[in-house]
Amino acid sequence: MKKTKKHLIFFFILVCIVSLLGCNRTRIIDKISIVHVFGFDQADNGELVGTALFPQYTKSKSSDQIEYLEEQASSSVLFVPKMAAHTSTPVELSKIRVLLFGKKYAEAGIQDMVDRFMTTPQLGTNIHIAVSTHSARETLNTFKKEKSLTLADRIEHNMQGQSLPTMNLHVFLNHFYGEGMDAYVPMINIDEKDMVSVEGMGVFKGDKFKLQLDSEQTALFSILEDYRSQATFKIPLDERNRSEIIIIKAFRSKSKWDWNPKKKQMNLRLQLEMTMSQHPRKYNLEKVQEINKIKKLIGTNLEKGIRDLLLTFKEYEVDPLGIGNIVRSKDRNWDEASFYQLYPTLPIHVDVNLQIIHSGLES
Amino acid sequence: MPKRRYDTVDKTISDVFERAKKSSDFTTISLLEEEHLLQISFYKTLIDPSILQKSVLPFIKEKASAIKELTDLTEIIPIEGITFTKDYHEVEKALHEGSVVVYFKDKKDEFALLNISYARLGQRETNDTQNEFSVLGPKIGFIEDLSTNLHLLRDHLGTSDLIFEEIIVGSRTKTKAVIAYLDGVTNPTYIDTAKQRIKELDVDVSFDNTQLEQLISDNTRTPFPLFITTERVDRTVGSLLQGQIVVIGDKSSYAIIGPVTLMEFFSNPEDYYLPSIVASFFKLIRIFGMMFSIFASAFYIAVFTFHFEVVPKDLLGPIIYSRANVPFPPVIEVLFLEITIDLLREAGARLPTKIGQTLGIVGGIVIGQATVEAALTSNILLIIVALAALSSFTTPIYKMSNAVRLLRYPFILMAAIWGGLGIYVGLILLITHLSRLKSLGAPYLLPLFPYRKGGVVGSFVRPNYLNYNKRPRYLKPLSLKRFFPANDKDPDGDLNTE
Repeated sequence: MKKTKKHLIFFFILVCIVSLLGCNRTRIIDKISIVHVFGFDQADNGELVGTALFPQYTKSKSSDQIEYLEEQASSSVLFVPKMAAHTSTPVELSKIRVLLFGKKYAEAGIQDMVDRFMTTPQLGTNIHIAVSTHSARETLNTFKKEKSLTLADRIEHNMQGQSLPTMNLHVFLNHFYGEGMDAYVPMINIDEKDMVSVEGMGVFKGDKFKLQLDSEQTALFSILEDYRSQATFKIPLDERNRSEIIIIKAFRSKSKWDWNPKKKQMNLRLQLEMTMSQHPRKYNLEKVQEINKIKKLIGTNLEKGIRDLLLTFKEYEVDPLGIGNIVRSKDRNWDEASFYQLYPTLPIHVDVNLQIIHSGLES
Repeated sequence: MPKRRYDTVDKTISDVFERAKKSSDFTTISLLEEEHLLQISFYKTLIDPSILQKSVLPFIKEKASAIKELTDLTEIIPIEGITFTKDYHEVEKALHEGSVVVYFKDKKDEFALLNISYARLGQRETNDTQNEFSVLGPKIGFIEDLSTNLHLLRDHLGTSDLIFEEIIVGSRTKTKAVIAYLDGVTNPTYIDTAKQRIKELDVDVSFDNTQLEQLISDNTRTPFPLFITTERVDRTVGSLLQGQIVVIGDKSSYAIIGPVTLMEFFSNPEDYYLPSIVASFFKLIRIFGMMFSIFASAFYIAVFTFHFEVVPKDLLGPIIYSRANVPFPPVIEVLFLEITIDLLREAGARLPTKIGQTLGIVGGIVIGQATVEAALTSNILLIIVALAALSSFTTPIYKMSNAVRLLRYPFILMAAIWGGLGIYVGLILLITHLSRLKSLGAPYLLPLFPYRKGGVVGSFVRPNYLNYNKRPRYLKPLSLKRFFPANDKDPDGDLNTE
């Protein structure tokens, strides 16, 4: 009795193993095409154009053997099956590091595409999403010519050590779907030397690309948004004299938003710690008065820049800083529609508190 | 009841001698007396012939006429410990232990037994530790002679609390086994369990303690050793002081220590000769080595067959490039290399020392390089497998490192079938198995499972000598403290109340 039962259990386990094995799909690492960058564009007939770059590691250790695939389809779901027709190994999306939208497509609205990201569990959320000023197709082609797959690294180090505000797909989705805030992305450009460069950032309104910021505005935005931005600012004192210039580098920044419900006014207290890389010789930094003078100069300059930036946001009715969300957290009766009617005229008081932690030495 | 050979024959003493005479080394010398024929019988392969020639035969011949009774021998032969018996079983036993039997030919009912065995004959001269090597510390190890081993223990642990209890193992070989423990320290439950198991053992021969260990182990269907087998004297003495029992067998250079826990297999006597911080690091390295050895190849398969997403992107290039020309799936590749390594190890263990070293070079360098160049395996796998093999040798106890090496294969198969999930399933099964194991009735995973306070940290690192004076509580010693320092804050806290 006991022995037959044991045999039955053994048989059951065997059936389980065999049947479960059948459900398993192996993806042996050298027998797949691992997509690195995926670009989306809009074709003239309204269909989508998907472009992908994947390295051929089997031919070369470094990623200089890059395959380029381009497909046109009416839905993004069809890209992978269509692409697979051209490749010798299955196309895998799990290792995508950058999702790139052409500017034209982004301006037309990317709602359906972002919805697809949500339903594609292979995609990680710690990947980059960007908009290119040219079409994604062109950018990827230029990139292929460069023979290196470093787009993600380019974006990443600009976020960590330069002026680009930190952003990945996870944060993007939060901003995209969240109430009282708008999504923003880094911008990819093809410069005159036919090189791909990271330049400034773009802001969405809803699902449509609305506003592109230049690199100075991006730097200001990054000290508002990030705690540890390393943006560099140039403050010219005299347009004609090259040496009459102050160059400062952000080190730490804390922005404190305060909503005054009575006056319906937003207060921004910005606490900045910066290092001074260059300053005109006429200022002697060993004297307190001169430091204060130079601090005041920088402070007013930054304050003006931030005010202008906020004005631009209000003008375009975009809210990448999530001011609506800040008000929502203070106001029980907050309503998205009525707030954004008021938004263009919302007074924002900016107060900059600057501290210079050291000067001269490059860090 | 079925008839058994060894307890049916030998009805009389003549049968004993008749059967012994069939062997060519059994010798009987006859000395003519006035009234009686005195006979001396012995196995010449077991006795020391010089003692027989110098101290026995001359005296008997000289004073032959004075011998009227066997008891007279005590006065004429200058050898201590002549015994007299009428029991022929005892005679037979004494013959096999290297005694000379003296008796009158016509009066075969009383025998004098003179023990002149040549105990050191055939024993090796050196007693260095051969297999458990350490840089620091004493290098004295046990040898295949019981009395030497007991001498070593008694010499190292000069206390009357050290008790030796002798038990006979093996219905045919009648090998002696000695249970050693510290009276008043070791929990009597363990002593009784060990004694009972050895006494009730049904086996004809006991070649070695490593065999005895399996015969008295709590679970024989496990790859894990449930006792520590060691040839080091310092480890044995340390275990005795901790409150464990030690079994020493005749004709075996290994001592058995029990009850043990899994973590003890990764400690080494050398740990106690190094500063505790250094030793703790090495001990953690050994534990890491064990885990690495079990899981490395399985992870290789799981990641490269199912979960390529976890590979960092900078590593993708080199890995894919190295695997690009390999025609097999990762599991075949891994099995090929693993079996090669185990073949090399097995061959190295069987070959004479000098050829073994050459083989290591041939195997390690030539075969490894050639397989990579022939695109049978990727060179990244070669690194992983070689490292895994290397780390399995960090485990100080040979039996445990064998178990670790075997465990790799089920994990490789699990990883090949279900990937990471398979490794998890395997791990769950392994932990289930480990938590059910017992050593002399004490759980194997102590003090982690069942959790016991005090000793968890000590089982992962080597405790500092500042807080050294307590025995591990989970071994349930009768006396908790090893010694009583002058500034002992709690001198009464010695008795184990658990």
